[in-house]
Amino acid sequence: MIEKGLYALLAGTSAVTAIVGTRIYPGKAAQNAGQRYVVYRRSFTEHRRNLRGSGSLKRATITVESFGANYNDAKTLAQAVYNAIGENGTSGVTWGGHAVRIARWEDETDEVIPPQMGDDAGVFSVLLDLVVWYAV
Amino acid sequence: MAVHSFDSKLEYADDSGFSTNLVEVSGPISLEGPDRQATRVNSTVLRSTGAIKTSIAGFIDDNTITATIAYTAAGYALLGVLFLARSTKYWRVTLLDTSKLTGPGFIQGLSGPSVPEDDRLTFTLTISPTAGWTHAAS
Repeated sequence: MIEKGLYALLAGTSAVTAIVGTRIYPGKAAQNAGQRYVVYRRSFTEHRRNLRGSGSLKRATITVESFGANYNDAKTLAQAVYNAIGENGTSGVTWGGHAVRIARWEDETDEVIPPQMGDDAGVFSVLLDLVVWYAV
Repeated sequence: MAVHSFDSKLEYADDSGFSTNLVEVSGPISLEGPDRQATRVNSTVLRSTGAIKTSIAGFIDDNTITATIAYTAAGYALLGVLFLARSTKYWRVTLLDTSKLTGPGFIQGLSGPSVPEDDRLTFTLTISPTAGWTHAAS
C-alpha cells in the first residue's frame, strides 16, 4: 500500500512536520483539526501484469492536499510537501518498504473553500496530483 | 471452451526433451506464432474445368514466433548472450490448458527496449524455427 509509504515519508520529513506536526490524514482531516494540515487520497493503483500473473510493478495516482488558513500558508505547506517527495526519478528510494521507481507530479490546483457560516473563516488549499511507479 | 492467456510461458532448453539447461523467459506480455503457412503452388492449366484456378500445397514455413516481454536488465542480457551466440535452442510455449507448441529455433531478432512515456519498458523477441514445430494437446 504505497499510500502508507507516502505517509511515512511525509511524517518523517522535518520540513513538513515543522508545519503540520502529526496532522497528516488519509481521506479527510480529523474533526476540528488545527491549521495547517495535509490530506492524501489514493485514486487508484494499476497493477501491471504479464502472462504469468501480476508483476511487481504498480502505478498509483495519489492526490496530496495542503490546507492553510490563508493562501500563503497553504502554498508554503504545499511547497514543503512537494520538496519532501521530489520531482524526479527516485531510483533506490523506498517508501514504507516499496521500491519507488519514480514519483512524478501531474497537476497542481489551488482551491478555496468559502466560509460556511458567520464565524467560519474558510480555508485555502493546494492539490498536488502525484503518479508513483513502484514495486512491491 | 476458450482458454485464457494467463499462465502461458515461454521456455528454452538445450535438448528436445527440455531436460538440459531449461530456462523460462521471465515477464512475457504476449506470445504469437509460429505463423504456419503452406506455400500455394499453382496447378492451373488452360483446360481447367470451369476456368477455375487450381492449386496444390507446397512447402510449409513456420515463419517466426514473437514474444513481447517486460524489460529487465538481467532478462534482456540473458537473451542478448543467446542472440550473439546464434545458438539453436529448443523452445516451448506452454498454455494454461498444458497444451504445448515446441520446436527448435534461433533468436532472429531482439529489439532494443521500447521506451514509451509513462509506461513500462518492453522488448520484442523473434525466434526463427530451424525445423518444423509441433503442437501437442497436453
